[in-house]
Amino acid sequence: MTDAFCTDEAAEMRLNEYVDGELDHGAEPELFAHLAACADCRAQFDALLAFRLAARQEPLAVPASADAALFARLDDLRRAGRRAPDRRAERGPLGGALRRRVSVGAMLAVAGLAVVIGTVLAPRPAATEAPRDRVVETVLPDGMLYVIDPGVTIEAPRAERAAGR
Amino acid sequence: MPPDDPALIDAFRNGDEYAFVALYDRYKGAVYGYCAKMLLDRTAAEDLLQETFARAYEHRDRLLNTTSFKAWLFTIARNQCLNALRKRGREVPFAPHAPEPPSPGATPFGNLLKSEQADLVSRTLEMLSPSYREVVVLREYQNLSYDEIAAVTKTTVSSVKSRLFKARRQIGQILRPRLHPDPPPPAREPRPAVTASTPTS
Ligand SMILES: [Zn+2]
Repeated sequence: MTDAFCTDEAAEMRLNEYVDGELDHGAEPELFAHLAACADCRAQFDALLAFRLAARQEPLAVPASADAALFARLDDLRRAGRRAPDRRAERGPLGGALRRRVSVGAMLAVAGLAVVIGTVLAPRPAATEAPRDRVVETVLPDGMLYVIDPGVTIEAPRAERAAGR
Repeated sequence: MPPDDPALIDAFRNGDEYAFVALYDRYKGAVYGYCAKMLLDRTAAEDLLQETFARAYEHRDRLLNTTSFKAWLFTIARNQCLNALRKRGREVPFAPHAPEPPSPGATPFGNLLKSEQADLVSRTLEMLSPSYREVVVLREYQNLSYDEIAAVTKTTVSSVKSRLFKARRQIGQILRPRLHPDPPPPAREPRPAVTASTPTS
């Protein structure tokens, strides 16, 4: 088997494009004819496929610690106040919210709670315009979760804070 | 990898944290894999994964349109990787380009365990300069198209093709002698051993 490379670089370039799914179908017959005649390109083709197979079967799972590290980092970012303070979505401890992803059921329950609290706390119809940025703290069995509804933000204490009480 | 939902990316740009988490879940594996293969160091890759998404979150208002999220994210990751490689290069010289000469009688590639094949592939990547390595990693591990690689590496498609071509010749030089259990090649002039450091990966 040859270790040399093809002297027809255009043909070898077409081989690369074919391997990458980037070769025009119209150019395939020319490539196949070349492959049939060129041992160098066949050997290179084998090497590229072997490399790809080995590369794609290697497990590269993200370590579980990566999530916690990122979310802690984002908490720090928020505390450092680098972002403009006018985003209501950033009122709560972001990392905490992300770390404790709750079930859809819990989300729905809290969303329902938000509506109830929003209704209870809503100003009477005759009152002046609704406050745009209210925070309601509540304790939920899940621990920390906050929901932003138009005009109402509910923040539940973080689990650590609740546990420290 | 499912196609991006423009609404999801729009929500992310507007500060929606759940959209951010959804995008993180979708892309963390790709970004981690890219960093791990660029640096050939999984611990460092974990740090850069964090750095990449923290920056994406911080600078989300710089994402101009919703169609280029993946390229934008990989661009951030790439900058982190290149910085880390530069920093590392100041401390430890890079592996030289010359591939390791195949040792006569080396186990044929097909007879290696999968983990040994992966290890050989990693060592092959290590022989490539960062500029060649990145196109190979984006193509082979991340399955990016030529257009996407050009966008991430801020270059042209023809430059991508040219770098892939040269990188693959180096790959071929290393792998081809291992692919076929032919008799060992005739004796050659002894070549100096490659003194590449082998970071854990
Ligand atoms: Zn050829």
